[in-house]
Amino acid sequence: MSNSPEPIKKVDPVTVEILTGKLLATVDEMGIIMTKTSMSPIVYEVLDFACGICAPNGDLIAQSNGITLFTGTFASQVRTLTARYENDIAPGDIFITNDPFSGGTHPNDVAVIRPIFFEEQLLAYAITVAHWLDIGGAVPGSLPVDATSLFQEGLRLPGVRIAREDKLNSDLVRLIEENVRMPELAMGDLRAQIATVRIAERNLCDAAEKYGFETVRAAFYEINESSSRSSRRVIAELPDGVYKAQDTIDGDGVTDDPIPVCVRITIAGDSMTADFTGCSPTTAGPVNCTRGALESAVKTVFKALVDPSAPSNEGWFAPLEVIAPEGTVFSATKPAPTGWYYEGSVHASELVWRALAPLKPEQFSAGSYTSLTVLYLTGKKANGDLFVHIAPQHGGWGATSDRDGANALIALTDGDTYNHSVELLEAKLPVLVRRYGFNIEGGVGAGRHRGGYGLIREYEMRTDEASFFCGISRNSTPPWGMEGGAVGSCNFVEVQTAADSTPSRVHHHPNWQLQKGDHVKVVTGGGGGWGAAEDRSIADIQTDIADGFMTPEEAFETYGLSQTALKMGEE
Amino acid sequence: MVRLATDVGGTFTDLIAYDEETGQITFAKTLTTTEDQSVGVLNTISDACETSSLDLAAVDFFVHGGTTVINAITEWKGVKTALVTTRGFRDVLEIGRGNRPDLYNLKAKTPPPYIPRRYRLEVTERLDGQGNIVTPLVETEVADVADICRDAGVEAIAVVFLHSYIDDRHEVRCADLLRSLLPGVMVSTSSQISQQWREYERTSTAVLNAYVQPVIDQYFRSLESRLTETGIDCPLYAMQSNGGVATFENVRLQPLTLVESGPSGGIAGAVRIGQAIGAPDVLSLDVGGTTAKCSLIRNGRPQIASEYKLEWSRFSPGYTVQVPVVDIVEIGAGGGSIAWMDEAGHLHVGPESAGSTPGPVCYGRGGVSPTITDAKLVIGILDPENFANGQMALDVASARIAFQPIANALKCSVEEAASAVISIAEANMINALKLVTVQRGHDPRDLSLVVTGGAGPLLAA
Repeated sequence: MSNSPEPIKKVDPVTVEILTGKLLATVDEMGIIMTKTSMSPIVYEVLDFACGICAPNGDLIAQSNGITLFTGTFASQVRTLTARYENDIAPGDIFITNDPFSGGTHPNDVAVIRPIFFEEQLLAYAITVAHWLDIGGAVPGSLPVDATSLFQEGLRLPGVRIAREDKLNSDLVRLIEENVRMPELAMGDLRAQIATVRIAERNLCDAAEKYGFETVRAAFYEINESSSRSSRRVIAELPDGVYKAQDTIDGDGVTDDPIPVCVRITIAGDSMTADFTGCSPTTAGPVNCTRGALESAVKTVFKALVDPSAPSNEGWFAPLEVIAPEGTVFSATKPAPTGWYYEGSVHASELVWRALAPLKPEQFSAGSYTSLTVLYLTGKKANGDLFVHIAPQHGGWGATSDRDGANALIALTDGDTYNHSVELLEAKLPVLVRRYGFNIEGGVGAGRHRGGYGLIREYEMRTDEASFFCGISRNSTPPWGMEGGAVGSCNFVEVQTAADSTPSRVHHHPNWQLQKGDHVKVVTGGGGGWGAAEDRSIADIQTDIADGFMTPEEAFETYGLSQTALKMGEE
Repeated sequence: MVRLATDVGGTFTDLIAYDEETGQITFAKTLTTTEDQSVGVLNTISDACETSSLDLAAVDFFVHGGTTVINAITEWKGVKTALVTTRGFRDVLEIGRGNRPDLYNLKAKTPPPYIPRRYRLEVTERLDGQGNIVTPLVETEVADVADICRDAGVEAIAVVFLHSYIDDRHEVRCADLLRSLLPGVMVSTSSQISQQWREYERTSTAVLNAYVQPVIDQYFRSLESRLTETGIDCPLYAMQSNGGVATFENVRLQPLTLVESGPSGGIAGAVRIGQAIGAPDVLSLDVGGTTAKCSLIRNGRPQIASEYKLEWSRFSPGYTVQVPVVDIVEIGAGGGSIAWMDEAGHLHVGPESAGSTPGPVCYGRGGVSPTITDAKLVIGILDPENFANGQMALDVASARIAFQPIANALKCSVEEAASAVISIAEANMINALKLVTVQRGHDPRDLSLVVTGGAGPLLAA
């Protein structure tokens, strides 16, 4: 991570606190604008976006609550852009980039970046990344499950200028409109993103007006210096050594072959190195991620280790170095497909999680369901218009040392993102949701503390003109248990057609044609348990039975408790 | 003829009596009695009678505002409640939106639902997204559900079916059946409190309304009889979250509409002040002991939002309710907000408050953490001899001692530390004010600032 040069001016701590508050209020404001003015349900309903302010050298200064995987890429996306354009950046410029190979994630995630000038001097960058529902490519929604080349995954804008002096480049706008399936949605989201970065500019310039340009720049520096000091202090207190973990990515969308991955973490003094040498090579299918996403994935867990609750910024990551040779599944280069990158990158996060958890067990839970378990439903509405429905699914998280795991939370990759309201969905699309509730039948990892429950979302099709595709990991390697806790359960999709008598299970499928009356169940897994099952308290088991999570027979099987023992516990 | 208004706040209970004939205004202020708030209300009335010649028989208007409902919810003082919902959806209440605002906390959990899974019951019925009946209500299942509720001693039931905002006939029929089978149980439907879509939010609304209904019903019945005993004989109103008032009888049916009763009163007042000074566009800032609330009034009307999130924070999704509320931005900055240093040496103010117990250090009720009120005392804004009409003497020395650790950490004097605390609190409030103005597209320079609340003028000046 690069550091900004020490500014000449020193700022008093009260002013830093005040400016920090203004920066957080600014990114919150950007988030609210995005929610209220975007056009795609994946943005306004699911909140699949994030906003941030970066220093001129790219260092993240403040981020909105959003998708952690996005915010961790802001620095590398800005740096790649500034390296490309060098001195050719002027007031009124707006840049657009959705390139995995320029620090980004996958082409659906479009970043809008605004250089903020105050009286001709570059003060900061504002950035907003949002998931566009369609960016072209081989299938509606742009993410072919079995893609083998980046050229099947849609229009890639490798950091280009879309406005000069605040005037949009109409040629570039027309190019985008012609290469996406739902141009009104795309343009609506683009305009919303532009509104957010303009608000950021206004707020930052107001701050510079009031406190002075140098003071604001010095505050940026101090904010990151302060978190850097705190972060190094935490790392220095951890025992030096080498910490390793391994895991498996369950298939790449082209084959189901297991993809082994590993990490070797070295702590020396106040520094930490996460080395992914030895991971499987770039895969044929699209679970690869690039270096920007890899670093972001590692940052998420690093932050969870050093200080989960403080606002995030680049300084927290000063002690961290991420190493990966080119050409692994986590460090893909062109022309590798990366559409389902987050199914790969989340495993990088989890490797770091598993390697570090023994150092601070009170901060880490057992394994979770991991995968965003995305299923795309696409087809025609009654009026003949195309619909594309994408929503990440929530699932079970692992137990901790002191309590049961969380039920139905969104996976590590996302953050402050929502499920999609059933009523909204049914008002717009030819589907009926038959069930949305806990995945009781899939179960969780037993333990002194059990894992949290995943979910079942069951769609019934009311049209013959629809299909689905899906790419779901943790479909055979279940979430890990801790300290003798049992493993959790896996994710999958189950299809019950009106014609067949038995359902079919899939986890990766490029295109399943659906008929009216077919049922499609998206099933997410339960988290891993913590501690031995025989240590689970009778009261907790009774609560689970009373709340319908398990039957008395299952309690006997899992916890070895007889009916008599249960009754005695009741007295 | 006399108009009486009371406000039960987190720290203080206030009363104002206004004699329309003579123009006389009487104030009374006592500490909020958290166990049973109506005691504090009656205390202020008896105080007012003592200090002035208040004739309770002449009262022709009485309105009650405050934190009664929100406290019943946040302190989990409601009743054993059941949810009856569309088959397949009993877990919607607990799932919420499934979000993790506490982004890097790997141990985060959604806040616990007000109804545990065992009392979330399902019946077979279904409407589709256009309001067509896909499956009629199976009434025998309603009887089964009633049996479970009876055996469990459930005291309130919320009935929530999908798409009831389009057509509520299944909810109404189910509720009618349940009432006939369970006399004595308060049964309410989602459609009687919200006609908005989004099943989680509407379920949450119906559930919280049912959860507090018996308690609030009892509170207002008891308050009414106590008021009547004092000689007050007039229509009795409660302040609603949308800035209007409703009779005690109506609020007993929809108690959740009182969830922001306290702050909306302040805003209704700001609207009147705006009218009185000829300023139709007003920015209202109401600062109490625990929170500061900002709201925008445009053309003499407050902005109404259709949704409100209880206990929402940067780290928790809170609980959403779909009641019309005055669009307030609320931040944890009040007179009792505590100033503290974190491990990295940063100074923060709030959101924790010393409340009324123990209260600011200078109140001498056992508080040891320095608050904004203590800061204002230390720098000389508050007069220690004349606080609360002379009812309370403030202890300056102990307030100064409370700031010493911060002064040591910042290497400055106690007065400078207190000033720093006030600067930060003010900056927080300005951010909140901006959230209701600039962020919604309004220019604050066009607005007049109206400040209310016990600590409002103290901080706004």
